[in-house]
This record gives sequence, C-alpha cells and structure tokens, in this order.
Amino acid sequence: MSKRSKSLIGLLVSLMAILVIAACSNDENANGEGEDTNDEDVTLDIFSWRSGDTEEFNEIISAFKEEHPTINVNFDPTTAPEYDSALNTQLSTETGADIFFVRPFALGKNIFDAGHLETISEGDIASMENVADIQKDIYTSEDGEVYAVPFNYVSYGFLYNKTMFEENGWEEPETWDDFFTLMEQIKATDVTPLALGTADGWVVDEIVASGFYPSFVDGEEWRQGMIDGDNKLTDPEYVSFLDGLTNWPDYMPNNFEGIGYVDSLQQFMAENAAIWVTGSWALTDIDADELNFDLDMFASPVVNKGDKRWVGFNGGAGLGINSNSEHKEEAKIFLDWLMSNDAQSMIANLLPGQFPAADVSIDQIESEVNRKWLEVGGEDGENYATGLAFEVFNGGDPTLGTLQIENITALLAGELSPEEAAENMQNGLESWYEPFK
Amino acid sequence: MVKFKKGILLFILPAFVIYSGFMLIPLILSMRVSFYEYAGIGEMVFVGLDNFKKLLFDPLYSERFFNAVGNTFEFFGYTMLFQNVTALLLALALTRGLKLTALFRTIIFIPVTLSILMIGFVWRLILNPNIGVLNQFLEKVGLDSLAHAWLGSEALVLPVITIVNAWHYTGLMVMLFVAGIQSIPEERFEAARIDGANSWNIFRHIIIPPLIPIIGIVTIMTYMGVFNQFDLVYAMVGTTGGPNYGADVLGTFFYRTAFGGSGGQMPQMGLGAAIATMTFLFIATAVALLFYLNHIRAKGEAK
Repeated sequence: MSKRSKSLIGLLVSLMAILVIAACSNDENANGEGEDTNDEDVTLDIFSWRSGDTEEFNEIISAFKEEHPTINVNFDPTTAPEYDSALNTQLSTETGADIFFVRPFALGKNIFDAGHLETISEGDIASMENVADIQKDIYTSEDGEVYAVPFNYVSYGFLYNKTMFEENGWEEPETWDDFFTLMEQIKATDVTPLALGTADGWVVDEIVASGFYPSFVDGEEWRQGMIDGDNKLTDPEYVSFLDGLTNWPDYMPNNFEGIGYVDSLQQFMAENAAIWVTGSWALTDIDADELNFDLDMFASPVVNKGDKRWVGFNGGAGLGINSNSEHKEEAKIFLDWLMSNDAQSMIANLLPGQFPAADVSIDQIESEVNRKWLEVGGEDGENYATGLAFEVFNGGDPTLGTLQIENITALLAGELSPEEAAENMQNGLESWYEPFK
Repeated sequence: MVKFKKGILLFILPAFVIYSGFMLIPLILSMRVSFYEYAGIGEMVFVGLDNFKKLLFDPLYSERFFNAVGNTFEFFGYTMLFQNVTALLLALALTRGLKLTALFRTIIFIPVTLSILMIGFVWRLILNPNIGVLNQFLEKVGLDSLAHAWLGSEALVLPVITIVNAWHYTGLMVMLFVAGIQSIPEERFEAARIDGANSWNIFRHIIIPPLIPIIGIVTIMTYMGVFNQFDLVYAMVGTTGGPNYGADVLGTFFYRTAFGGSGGQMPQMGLGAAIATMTFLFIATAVALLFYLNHIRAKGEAK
C-alpha cells in the first residue's frame, strides 16, 4: 500500500473518531442558553409533559418572579407520549432540566433509583408540610426518602350536561341501579347516554378500569389485600364490577370500538351525548367558554344505598429536582413557593381538575364543577382509592395496565365473559407477582 | 480489468464518513444494545442472547412478535395488491395517449406530497364511525349494514390502513411504471400490432418483460417500506396496534416495547433493540435475495 493511501485511511479513521466523540459527548451548551443576564440571575428550566398548559404555567411563573426577581424560570414542555423517552435521553446525557415532572409510582421510582433525583425533606422545602401523607407516599422510596414534590393529582368520574339534565328532569344517580335507570331514561330520548369508546387503550385502562372498580370492592383495604396477595381479581367482588361493565355497551355510541378519547370529547361538546366518562383533567381539556350548556359532574355510584362513595384516583404528577442541576438551591426556593398556599390556590383555578396536592381551602376555588369534583374526594382525601394497576401491578410483565386494555376491551366488545376476563388478568399477574405464588 | 485508482477513495470519503456516522455506527451500537437488559436509564446488564430467546420462545413476547411479523407480511400482501397492481393499471391507462393524461398524472401524484400525520388525521375523520363521511354516505344511500367501525374491528383495521397507505403512495409507483413503459421503443408495439397481437398479448409479451427490473424495484421498495412501517399505523390507531393487536406491525411493536408508556409498561430498550435487529435481518435477507436474482438475470442476458 502506498504512503498516500495509508494517510488517506488515517484521515478517514480520525474523521470517524471525531464523529463518534461528537455523538457521545454532552452538549454542554444546552443548559447555558439565555442564562445569567447578570451575575446573580439564575435560570431554572422545567421539563413537563403538559404542553397544553404552557400559558397557565407562564402565568404561575410571572407571579413567582414578582417575589423572586433574580430567579428566571423557563417552562419547556413536550407532548405526553414523547415525555418518558425524551427525559431518559436527557438524563443519561446529563442535559436534563433543573426541575422535571415525575410520573407517579414505578416510573418515577425508576428514575430515582438511577440516581437522577435529589431527595426532598421538609428542612429544605418547608411548605411540604401542607401535603397529605397519601400524596407523599406516591413519591417515597422503600427507604422512606421522598424524591419529588407532589404537584397535582386527578380522579375519575362522570361529567354531564347539566342543562340537558335539568330540561329532562334527570337526576344524578346514587347507586348503580339508579345509574342504569338513568341510562334507560336518557336512551329513550335518542341522545347517546355515555360518551365513551374503546379505540384508545389508555381510556379503557385508566378511566374505565381504574375509575369505577372501588365501589364494588369497598376501596383501599381490598386493594391493599390484593398487594399482599390475599385478594384476587377472580374474587366475586371484582367479578361483579366486570359484570356491571357488560351493561355499559348498550348505552355507549354505535361502533364504540372505533371511538377514542377525542371523539368522545367532541361528541359530548356537540351535545350528542349526555354524559362523558372521563377524568377530572377533562375540565382543563374542555374550554368552558365555548360551551352552550352548563357542566356538572357525579362521582362513581355505589352498590347499596349508603355505602361509602369511593372515588378512583391516579397519582398525577410530581416535580423533582435533577441531582445534576447547578441550581439546586434556587430550585428548592421555587418548589417551596409553588407549594405555598397562595400559589396552590392560584394553580387550582388556573388548571381546573388537576387538583393541587397541598391543602387548599375549598372556597378559594372559583369554578363550581371543579370544586365539586375536588369535594367528592373527601376533606382529607379519605374517599380516594388508587387505581389497581398504578402502584405495584404495572411493575412486571405483563403489566396490569396491558391486561386491562386487552381483557376489558374484549369484555366490552362481548368477546369475553366477566369470569374469563378476571381469570385472564389474574393468571397474567400470577406469572410474575411474588405474593401470588 | 480497470486499474484501481487510489484517488477515487478521496471521492468516496465524504459519503462514507456521513454514512458511517449517521447510519452504520448507530446501527451497530443499537445491535449491541440488543444483548443487554436496559430500561433506557440506569444500568445496562449484559444478558447475552436472552432478549432473542424471549422474543422467539417466551409466549408472553413471542405471541406478540409472531403476530407482528404476520401482520407485516399481510400488510405487504395487501400493499402489493392495492398499491402496485393499481399503479400498474393506472400507468397503462396513462401511457395510451388519452386526453387529460397530464392532468390525471398530477392528480394521482398529489397524495405522495402530503404529510403522513395529516393523512392519518384526515382519514381518521373520514372513517370515524359516527361523524365520518364514509359511514354517513353509506347510511344516506341505504347501505347502513355496510357502515362499520372501520378502525375498531380486528378484521378490518389492517386492510383499511393498507388502503390508506396505498392511496398515499400509488402515485409514486405509477411514475416508476410510466417511465418504464415509455422507455419501450414504439416500433415493438407497431410490429406486434402488424402481427395481429391483441391487447393482452401486447401487455404480456411486449410490456411486461422490460418492466421486470422495475417490478423488482417496486417490490423491494414496498417490502422495505412495510418492514419500516410505523408512522401511518401510529397516526391512525396509536401504538397499541389497533383492536386486539389487529394492526400491530413490527414498527409499533418495537416502539411500544422499547419506549414503554402504553398500559404502564416500562421501557425495555434491550428487547426493543432485539426487535429492531430482527427487522433488519428480514430486510437484509430480502435485499440480498433481490441482488442475487438480479445477478442471475444479468448473467442470463449476457449470454
């Protein structure tokens, strides 16, 4: 080989090496943009999956800025489906934001276990004392370390067209029997009773399966028993929940197999359906000013009159501090302010249905339906029952979430009986969950 | 034999560096991940061939994997039928010197230029079971019984998506076929007609033989497109692959596994990389086969 071709190959190899190094090294500048307008100013970046809430967040931030003029905060969201992979990439290349949204339970703990989250104590963030223990538990490790500030949470229920209800003299149901009587009444008027479809898997998993099982099994205690391995999905209580669901398709739109979350929202807004089966965040998704009717909600009905009225609950979102951040002190100041009473009541009104985790007194909330949805949870959140899948049963493969999508969709389509669906789900969990073995 | 000129290397260099940097190295790195257990964050644990074993033999994953492979081949079959046969017929019509040929050629090509997410969105509206144009039309003309939840039925969802996909790309294939047909010398058609050949004979013996290389290219392009298919399925039914995985192709199965998210699933990058590697093998085998067939054909012609 001649000298020239040797040097050529040398050049080639070194060029490739440069490319590899460039690809692997961290983009140091990513955190630096727009930073430090003078020596004392600091900019905090917040990474979130709520891209629809940017306007509201900027309002929150400008209120913060009035009290802390030297700290700039920059809300930098992405879309929900992209969030987890984007966050993982940022964290493993050390370009993560100073503060980022933390998923409840297992997904968030995964990030803490990988060492990317600062632990949080009341010593650092005094206003954490406003937060109820049930909220802190969502973001607490096995060793009792809290790794995120509980920011908000959502619960499930039925949002209905109040104007239509009043015109027809329909009433909110208390028991499931009342519920189906109401369904018949609505159906007789040619309006679809329930805006709900199974095209989006997460609607089945999150809203249907997590939202309405608690009233059949009497809530948290049963769920705890299931975690301990004492209760099973094949127990008659849970099967009776599935059995009740088999009545729903009669009151859902035609071809509901092809209807997704957004279709249901449109159907409800266009007054083609009387009730939207959804979660409290719907109050942010729906633009109340554009509606020609009043909104109201009722929580999951109960089996027998006088039973405790459980409300299906989801962890919502926490805010964590990047353990790699250069501005941890400022991040703590911001989170402390964010959890203070004034900020929390402001957030409660800006983001209806995404309930603040800290104590906010009910009369500070302006919108009536927002207030009602919060009140059904009970004064200290004692009516909340966490969705079955969230805490531990999404931690193995197959996840309960996946099992719920597969089996409850088939149940609603009439392809499985309640017993078969329960058995499939139980078998799926027994294949990996230790206490069941 | 042409003498090898070392200077040529210099011309290959830029393309080679860019190709390696953005294709070859990432490809090899991603194959490496398939030997690890990795949640996208935290530790990577070397597990050897475990991910491939899971994919092929553990019913929890193999059922999904073979379902996705089956759906991908079905997608390929439907696309060959709906897209390429249609494209060939349209190309024949467009090369007969009829009126308005140029206009129709443009119209047929327009969908190719549209963004895939827009196509997914618009078609979802058209196919919406209650407010969609298609079902409303069927009801208006009294064919209520034909109105379906097009994307909600396990049996229909895959054919429906392939039809939308065909609608999108037919124009491109038409162009390839038109170019092929137009490159056939006019004298051959004349000679055939003088010999009394009918349309079928002209098609079978004059048009098809010179089109074979183009049919090969169209087939391999379709095959590669189908094995990389993700965007349209994602835009129309999301990452869960439609009702009961009826439209779950390798692309959506990969996305769901590698990045998690649906049904509370944790990301499993290692297993995802194993799926991507298998997809690569499917494509590589087919391309190698095509090269081999081309080679044989070229040899045959040279004789």
